[in-house]
Amino acid sequence: MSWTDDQIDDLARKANEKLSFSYDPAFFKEMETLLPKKKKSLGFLWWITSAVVLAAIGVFWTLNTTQNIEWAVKSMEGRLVNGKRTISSTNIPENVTLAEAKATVEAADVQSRISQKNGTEAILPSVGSKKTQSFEGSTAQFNKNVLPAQSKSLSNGDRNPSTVEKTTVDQGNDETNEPAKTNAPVIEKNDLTSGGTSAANEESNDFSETQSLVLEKEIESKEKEKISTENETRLPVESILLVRGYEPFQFKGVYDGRFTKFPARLYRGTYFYFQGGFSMGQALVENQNKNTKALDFGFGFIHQRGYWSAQAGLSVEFQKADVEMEERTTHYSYDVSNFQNNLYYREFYKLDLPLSIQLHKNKHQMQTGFNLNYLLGSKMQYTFSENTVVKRDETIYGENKGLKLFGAQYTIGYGYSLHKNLVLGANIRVQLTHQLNNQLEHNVATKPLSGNIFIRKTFKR
Amino acid sequence: MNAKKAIFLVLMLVAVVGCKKNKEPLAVLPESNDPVFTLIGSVDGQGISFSAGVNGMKMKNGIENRNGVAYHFSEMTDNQLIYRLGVFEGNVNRLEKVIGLKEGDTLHFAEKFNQTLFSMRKSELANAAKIDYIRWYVNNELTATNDLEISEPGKYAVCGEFYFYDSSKVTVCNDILLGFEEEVDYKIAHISGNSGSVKLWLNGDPDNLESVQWYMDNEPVSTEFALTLPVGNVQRVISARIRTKTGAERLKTIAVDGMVDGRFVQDFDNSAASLVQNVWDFGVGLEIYKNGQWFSTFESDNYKSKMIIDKVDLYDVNQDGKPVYKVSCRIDAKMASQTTGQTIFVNLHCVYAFVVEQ
Repeated sequence: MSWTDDQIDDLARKANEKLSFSYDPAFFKEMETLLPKKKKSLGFLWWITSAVVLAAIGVFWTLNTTQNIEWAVKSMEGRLVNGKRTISSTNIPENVTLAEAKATVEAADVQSRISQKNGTEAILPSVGSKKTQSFEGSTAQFNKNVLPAQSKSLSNGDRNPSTVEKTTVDQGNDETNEPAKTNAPVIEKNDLTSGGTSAANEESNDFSETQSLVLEKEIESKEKEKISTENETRLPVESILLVRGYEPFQFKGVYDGRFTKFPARLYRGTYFYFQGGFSMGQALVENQNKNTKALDFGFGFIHQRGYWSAQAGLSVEFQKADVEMEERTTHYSYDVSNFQNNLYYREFYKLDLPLSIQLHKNKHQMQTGFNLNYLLGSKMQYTFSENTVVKRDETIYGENKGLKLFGAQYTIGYGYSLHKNLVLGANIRVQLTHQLNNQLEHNVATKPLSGNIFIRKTFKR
Repeated sequence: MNAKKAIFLVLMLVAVVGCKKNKEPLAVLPESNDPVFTLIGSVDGQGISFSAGVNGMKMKNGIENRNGVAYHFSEMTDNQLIYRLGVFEGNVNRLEKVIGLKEGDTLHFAEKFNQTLFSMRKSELANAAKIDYIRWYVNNELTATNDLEISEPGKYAVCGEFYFYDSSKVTVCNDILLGFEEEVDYKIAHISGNSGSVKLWLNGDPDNLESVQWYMDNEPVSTEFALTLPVGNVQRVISARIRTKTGAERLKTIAVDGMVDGRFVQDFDNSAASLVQNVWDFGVGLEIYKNGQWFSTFESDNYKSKMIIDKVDLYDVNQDGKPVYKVSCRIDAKMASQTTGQTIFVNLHCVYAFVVEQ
């Protein structure tokens, strides 16, 4: 029997359709052992290098992660207990009464929870709307009508059961929930007060104050509940974030839609930065009126704890110095010979170790510290002459005659955060320990000043 | 730019600027110092003070050949003034030169000889009747015919072309040392026999003789102190290379006649004068050029003049690899003008540089 091509194709097609592969994870584990092992990343070298820098700020690493979390949680609790934070973080105009504001906050809080849980758009009672106007005259009416109305509207929504239950508690169901006992008498009192003499101003004022206090307590208790709930539900998440050095906490300002939370956040943790700068300074030699100019590029780490941070880094500085030195000798023998070495240092190449502390305030930061310099090399125009006859005239790299290898600068400066991870700033530097020695040049300027502008790109997570 | 790239960039910059080194180091300048060579004192009652390197004065030194004898000179000069001090070598015929400058030595000044140091006249020769004429070459230059006189001290290469009446000719050359001590003080004597043989020997101190090598027509023939050579019936040039126990060496030459026909040439030393003055070995000379005229100790009777060497230090090695010594000395001498004969007295303290033949 001979098979036609169509039959063979048909058989193959059917055979393929019947193929089935059973998935067994063990197969993949076996495969993994057969795969070539991943080469060690060169990134290891980066961290060896970085470890040197990290050693300088090692003191800051003595704080372990647990301590950070504890500190952060305590700090967060302390701030959350203060109900004013919530008010300051809403878009409520200044001319709105406290009651309106608190009601708005409350409603917003409830609505936000619904939105958070269900992902639906919350419809907040806007300040100045008809509803608000209706309860402006009577706070009691607000308590009676607005909250139950919200409660109703909430109960009609597609809600998460847990949210519904919690919302019910928040609305002061005095019969079913113990925590609502705090709210129940308040509502009754408000009702009674509203039924009294409306013309009594003092009573009315007392009423308002009492009502405000009650509202504050009410909100406070809700906040506490919220905190306890948040602590229970968010703490693990917060812990992870804190390990990463991030505190998603606002104490001032709001999210403006452009992801510019940087002024409102207090960063806490360690992050990497890359920085470039330009400097101009006074002449290094007094009688040589030649200012210095420098470019620097570097990286480092900043460890920030709230308002304060400490910085340590490593950078390369290219300094155009234009320092002229000369060395002369008169040697008598059969005749006299005048030998002269002219060392015209045009550029210095330095390795800088910036160490500073910084105070952060919103977008602003002040910083002060020291910049330790190590002379890597130099570019020099060298001439050697004997009896005014030039015998060598060349450019020499790496010479350090007349120079010191180490120097130190004191710096003080200011930085402005252009963006969450971008800082523009300026420093004033005082050269404390000069890198010119007195071997060839005796007119070394004492503590020359230099100005430095920098831009710093940080890598906060 | 991420963190790794930033670190990489900075490290590369560090590597670039940190590793670029120049290979050739900077010139190391010699230390500044005070003038080394000085001349202080009085010349003809006038005080002088010169230092090499100051006011254009320089110290020059070298070795001059003065009539075949090395003259180690050193001068302080600015091309307008010249204060030249020199010392002749001594033991001229020694193969190994010795330094004549030693601390504590007192050197005499080389005084001009008032006599003819060498005189060889045709008429005074024993075989003058056989000689038609003589051509004298001194240092390869035809200097005289028949009669030769030399008055200047020195070491001369004297060659005489002796033309005889029978048309024969013989040339005899000798190095003649005049005015200096001749350590190889031997004269060749000979007697020609009738059988064509010649008896030869040396007249001089046999105890100071180290060796002698006899040559006949430039072919070595014997090393004996005295010998008899079969020369045949022809003229022969006989030479003797004589070495003394003091390390001096000299080649002396005569001519003998196997025909016993008087066509010989006697030892030139027979014509050298006997000296009555100090020889010039390690003799000092001082010459001053000032106001357009030369003053020299050679022009004056200065047997009372002296130079005391206070200190000798090796100072340098010159471009020829010869050592240069810094010599501190005191000079008390009498000089005379070469042009006017004016006599002046000098009293000097000097620190001069002398290059010495190794």
